[in-house]
Amino acid sequence: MYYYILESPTSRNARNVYNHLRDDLTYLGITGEITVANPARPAHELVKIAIARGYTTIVVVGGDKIINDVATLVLDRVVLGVVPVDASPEVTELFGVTQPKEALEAVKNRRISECNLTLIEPNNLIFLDVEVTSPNLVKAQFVIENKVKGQAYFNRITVSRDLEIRIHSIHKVAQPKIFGLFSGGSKDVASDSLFTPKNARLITEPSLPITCCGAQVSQTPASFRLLPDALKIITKRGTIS
Amino acid sequence: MKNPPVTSNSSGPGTIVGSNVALTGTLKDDDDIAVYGMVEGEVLSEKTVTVGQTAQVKGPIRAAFVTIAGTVRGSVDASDKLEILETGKVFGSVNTKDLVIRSGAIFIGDCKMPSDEVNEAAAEPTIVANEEPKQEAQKTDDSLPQPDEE
Repeated sequence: MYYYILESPTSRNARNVYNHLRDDLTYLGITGEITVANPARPAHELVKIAIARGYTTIVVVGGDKIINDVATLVLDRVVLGVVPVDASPEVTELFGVTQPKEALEAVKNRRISECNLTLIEPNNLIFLDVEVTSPNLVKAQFVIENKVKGQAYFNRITVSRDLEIRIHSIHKVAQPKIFGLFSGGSKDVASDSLFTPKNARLITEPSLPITCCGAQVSQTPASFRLLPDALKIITKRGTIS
Repeated sequence: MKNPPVTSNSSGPGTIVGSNVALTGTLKDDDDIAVYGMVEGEVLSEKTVTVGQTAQVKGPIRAAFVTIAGTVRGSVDASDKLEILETGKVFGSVNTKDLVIRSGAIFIGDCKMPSDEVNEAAAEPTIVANEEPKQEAQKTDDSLPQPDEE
């Protein structure tokens, strides 16, 4: 049996999907308990209820935030399916579905895949990318695999569920004067770094919030650890052309 | 301006050290490594290591393919190919079986090529030297007038 968690509809598109959802589920033979997350009963409470009731598959219908909230709670206890509504490409590419009907077909076919998650010690999980941002350049120190020490100035650091750490910075560099007299102005110099360790520690000066989908999930200093194949998800079945 | 691209046999980097990053320690990756910042320590890859123009590496580099456009102070061991580009500077010994040094590059150190290649090169002239005189001697004998013909 499936446990469906619906995000409170915020757009006409979402309302449209919800209106047809029950009929579509019945038609495909994948009916189950349908609940709607709301401030009084948020998604994390609904996940606890589903697990307590013994459901083994939770299907989230909604956008990035609710999908992320549920994915970071279920870990390897249940299988996660999604019906993306106004979701980002990061979600649709992972699950291989873009349209609600296509997603429901995928739920019916039930092809299980595993994906990595990253743990922010002690107990926050990363499903969708988290980021640390600052309008000005900020100094960061990091330790990778407890072996490599590094430092960098950054404007944005993103960390993915595969523990890909991307460090991005833009700073201005003065151009040489023209004929030694006139100012040559300045140009922006961008720098990007990428590390893919199994564990890492990040320290910034000052401490900065770590955010996901606009909400703070943790703050620096923080330790990250990769959890391989920690989440079971329902993805689209491959096609033979 | 992004990190400057450097031509290489890269299949896409697994690790990129940007120009604003300084690292200390052993940087190891099964995939490609691209360095545009500062690294003090070993740089080890199963595939390609690319040292960009803005990079400074102080320590040994070991990979299948190594391309250097920045500064390297340490030994370079490239099992397949080492290329030092125009802006590249290498201060240290290199060990590779395929070496390209572009005009303008600086290389101060020893160079070693794999020993089997060296043996082949040394053996070839000996074979040629032994065969050539024999053929010449035969030709000389043929050209001599035969007593019967006279």
